[in-house]
Amino acid sequence: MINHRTCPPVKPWLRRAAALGCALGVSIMAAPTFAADLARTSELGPSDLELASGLDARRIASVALIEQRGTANAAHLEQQGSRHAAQLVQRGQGNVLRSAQSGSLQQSSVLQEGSANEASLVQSGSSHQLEVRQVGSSNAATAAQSGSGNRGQIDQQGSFNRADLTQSGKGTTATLSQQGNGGIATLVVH
Amino acid sequence: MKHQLSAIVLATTLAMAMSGAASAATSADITQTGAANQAYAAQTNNSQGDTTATIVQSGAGNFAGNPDGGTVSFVEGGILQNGNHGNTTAEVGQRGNGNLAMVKQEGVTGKYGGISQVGDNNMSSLIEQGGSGGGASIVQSGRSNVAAVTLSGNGGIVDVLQSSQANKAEVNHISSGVTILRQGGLANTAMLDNQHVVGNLTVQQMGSGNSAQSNSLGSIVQDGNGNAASISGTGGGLTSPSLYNTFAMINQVGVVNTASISQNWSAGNGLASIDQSGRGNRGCGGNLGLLGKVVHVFLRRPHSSRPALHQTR
Repeated sequence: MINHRTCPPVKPWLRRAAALGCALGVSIMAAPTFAADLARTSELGPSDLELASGLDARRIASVALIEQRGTANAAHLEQQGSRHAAQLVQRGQGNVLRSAQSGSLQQSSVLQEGSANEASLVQSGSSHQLEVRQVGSSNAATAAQSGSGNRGQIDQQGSFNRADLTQSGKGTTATLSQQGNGGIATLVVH
Repeated sequence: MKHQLSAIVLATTLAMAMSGAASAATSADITQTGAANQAYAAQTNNSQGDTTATIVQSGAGNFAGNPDGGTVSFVEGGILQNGNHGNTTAEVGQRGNGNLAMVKQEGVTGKYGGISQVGDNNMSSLIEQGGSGGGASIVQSGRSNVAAVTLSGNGGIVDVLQSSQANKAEVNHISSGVTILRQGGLANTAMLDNQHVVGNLTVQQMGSGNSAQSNSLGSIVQDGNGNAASISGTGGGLTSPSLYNTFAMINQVGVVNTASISQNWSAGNGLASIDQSGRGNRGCGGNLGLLGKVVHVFLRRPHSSRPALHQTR
């Protein structure tokens, strides 16, 4: 479902794509701003998704895909229910990505290439899985998972990056990896 | 029947697949490669299963501590674990110069904290408070490193190993347990600042120009020249000295070494022993105020050694 109060008018093909996402139980809000912007959502087969993102295709019921290229883009994704998956890709600088998933067995995969990007993910419920990968400098990744059996992983390549992951619940797994200088990694599990 | 069996197998498979992600163990891992990085991991109140945290940093000037702390804080800890149940493990590995690692474990039984550093001018702090059966280990390879361990809780084991030169190690072991502090190289300093300890405390130094000091009891073994060893226990070092037999032993092999033992308890039995082998050594031992006390000073080259012995009942 597209929130027209917060998002500027979008192209007809994006409306159709969002409608398809809505049918899959997916809510997508993508806000193009300055540069070339590409956002699309589609339904992938489990094998396609597994090859594309490394997600566990056996657990996936529906898929949301957002891809943006350019500078200063913003993407917002919401998923509710069970066994949804999101693959979010931004290439460029100054991009912002927001993702919220609730329910159970949700999966998020984020890739940001470029500098000064920001990714924020929230998962509430149980047995979720998120993976954030940022390539570039001065990027920030923030993720919060509440519930049991969640798994979170943030990988950053570049300098002066920041990774923050908070988990609350039992049986969780968290991994932060940074390659570069001046990085800050904070991991809180309670 | 066949379909029912298939359904059961499918349901079991799905249940196992879904429960796999919800294993009882909690783990947190941080890996950083580069310079001037900061890492902080906190795990608290895990009531189910084991808890594991690992930080691995490669590069110079890295900091395994609270990035928002601003200053070096021995309270926060690069890894902070509090109130967890089950086995709790915290490990930090750093490779490079000028790194800082801190681990703090609180209220945990069955805990292990380990810090390993390779490089020069590194600093480690490991604190374990509460619980019992703790294990603390610091291994440093390089020059001018500093290691500090504080451990409370019965049955704890502290193991510190430093190699190379100008290293410093300080262990504060409270309550019963075992402490092994080993240093190899030149101009190293070891200090056991122990209170209420019943157990084995050992300092081993291989090399020259080293110094070791214990403020209560234990044994110091030094192999090299120009070393200094001192064991001094006074006042209420032990909560109830009359319950325990305290011993202090210094063994030195080399030349121009110095050894000193001073025990002054209001009660209890004491043993002070100094064994020196070499030339130009100086040994001094004394028991004051102990009920049953024995003092031994062995000087293998008496013509050049200057012993002193003092006993007062």
